[in-house]
Amino acid sequence: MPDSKPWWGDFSFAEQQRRYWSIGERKLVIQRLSCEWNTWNIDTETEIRDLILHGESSHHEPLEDKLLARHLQTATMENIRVMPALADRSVVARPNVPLRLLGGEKTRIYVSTPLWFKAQTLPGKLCLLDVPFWRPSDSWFGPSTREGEMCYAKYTEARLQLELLEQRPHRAVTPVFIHNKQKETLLIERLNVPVPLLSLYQHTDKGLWTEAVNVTREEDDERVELVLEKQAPSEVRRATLVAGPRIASARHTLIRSLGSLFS
Amino acid sequence: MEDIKHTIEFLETTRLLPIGHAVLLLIFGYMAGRIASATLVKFLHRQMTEHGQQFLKRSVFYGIFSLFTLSALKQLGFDVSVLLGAAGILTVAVGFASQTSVSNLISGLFLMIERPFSISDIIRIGETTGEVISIDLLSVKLRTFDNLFVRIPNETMIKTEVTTLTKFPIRRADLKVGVAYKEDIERVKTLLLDIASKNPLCLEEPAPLFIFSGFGNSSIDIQFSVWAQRENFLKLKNSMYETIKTAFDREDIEIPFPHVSLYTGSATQPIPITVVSGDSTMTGPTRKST
Repeated sequence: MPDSKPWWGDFSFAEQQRRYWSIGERKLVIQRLSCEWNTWNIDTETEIRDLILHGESSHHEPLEDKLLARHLQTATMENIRVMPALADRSVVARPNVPLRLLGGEKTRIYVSTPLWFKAQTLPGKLCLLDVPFWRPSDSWFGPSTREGEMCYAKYTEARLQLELLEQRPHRAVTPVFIHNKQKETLLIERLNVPVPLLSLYQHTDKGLWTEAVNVTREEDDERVELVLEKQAPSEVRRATLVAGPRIASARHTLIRSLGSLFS
Repeated sequence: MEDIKHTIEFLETTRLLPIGHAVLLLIFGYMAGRIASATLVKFLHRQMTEHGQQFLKRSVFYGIFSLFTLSALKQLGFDVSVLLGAAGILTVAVGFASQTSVSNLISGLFLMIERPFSISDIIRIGETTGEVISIDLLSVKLRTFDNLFVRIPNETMIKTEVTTLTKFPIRRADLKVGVAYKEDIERVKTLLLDIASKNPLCLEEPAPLFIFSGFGNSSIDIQFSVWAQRENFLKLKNSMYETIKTAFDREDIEIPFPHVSLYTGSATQPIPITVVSGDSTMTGPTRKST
């Protein structure tokens, strides 16, 4: 269900004006006052698969008890920038059945991960909101309970065929290309995608995507090489850049231990 | 001219000059130690933990101050090598006299080297749980969660079991749940796993653990273990218990509590209860109800 109409961009607010962004009952509201910005976060327990809508919100709508924060400023300016963002930690996706990539073989897995809603003041880029549409569960990814990293799980999917991956406007797709150069089979039960290092691209028909991640398990090394492509993936070559990575890095090639990416 | 000559003679005879020199050295050494240790920590604080900073600060200060003290003693005419020898004998004497303090001191050194915990860690010793606010040569100071200051001698820290609650990034909360004997365990298990999967603070991996603990006196005892990020441990534990109670109430799953049945000694017939009027049974002074 790709969303052709972007819900992000620069929005102008008159004083006292409220705007909302919603997916069904799930709603985020921003209001401008003379010396403060108010934000509301109306959550739902379950994920909704609707389109993301946005518009002007009525003052009569009872929102007060859901007030998330009051952001104080000497004087508020007219514009804010809204943009989608990827998760602030790596995201773990699990194929519906464990995959076994045979020695010397390659495969491409499509992973969909949840999006965050980010709003910043203009000028100054002061953060007003940085919340997920639905907060994924915390998870631990590592060889033991002593070593590893905190990740997110839930609201993710990993599929071998793109057609089987249900596209939702509040998720982004990351193609992960895996090359197992070793003779031994590589077991993929869970896949750790380092989304804070990835950018977001928008394709008019196919929704939001990130650049592809190439993972190579070298022949004589237990570590894996992780190469982040510098452009939109081949599936959406004409897509345009919407947001840069959360963690900007000049390096596009990373060396990781096998256990930090697959389990 | 005569006065100056007299003053110099006076200073030489009373040894005030070397004493003054030694005092100046001590003051200078103290200040130099303070400044050097503070400056070093200021430059290196980003790369070091609070524990490391404190250790470095003290080592630099005491190092510099000891050198200046030795120099001051030399000014006073003491032979340092003889003094060191005397210090050895003195240490033995003082050691015997103040065994506990010395034991604490040595334990403190071991604690600093072994580092089972650092400043700002949460530790548990016996009944006391609190945040470490300083690790000194003689004792470790804790701030408990009800904001009390607790001083624990280092010797105790070395001898007893100390649990560091903030050593690893994730923790497991073991939830004890009891359900009535009539309940379907599979259904309870599914419900508990569903509650865990809906709680965003509950880690997906390591997966929640369902352990059938046994047949209790009044209930089937279950241990449901869930993992959380260390910082969210209490929040998860509370929210899980709250959700489990709500879900069990909603699904009509009984959480039993111990029942007591009373029997008369010789028979199993119920104990007879007779309701009597309050006035007729009163033998003491009567109270008027208002």
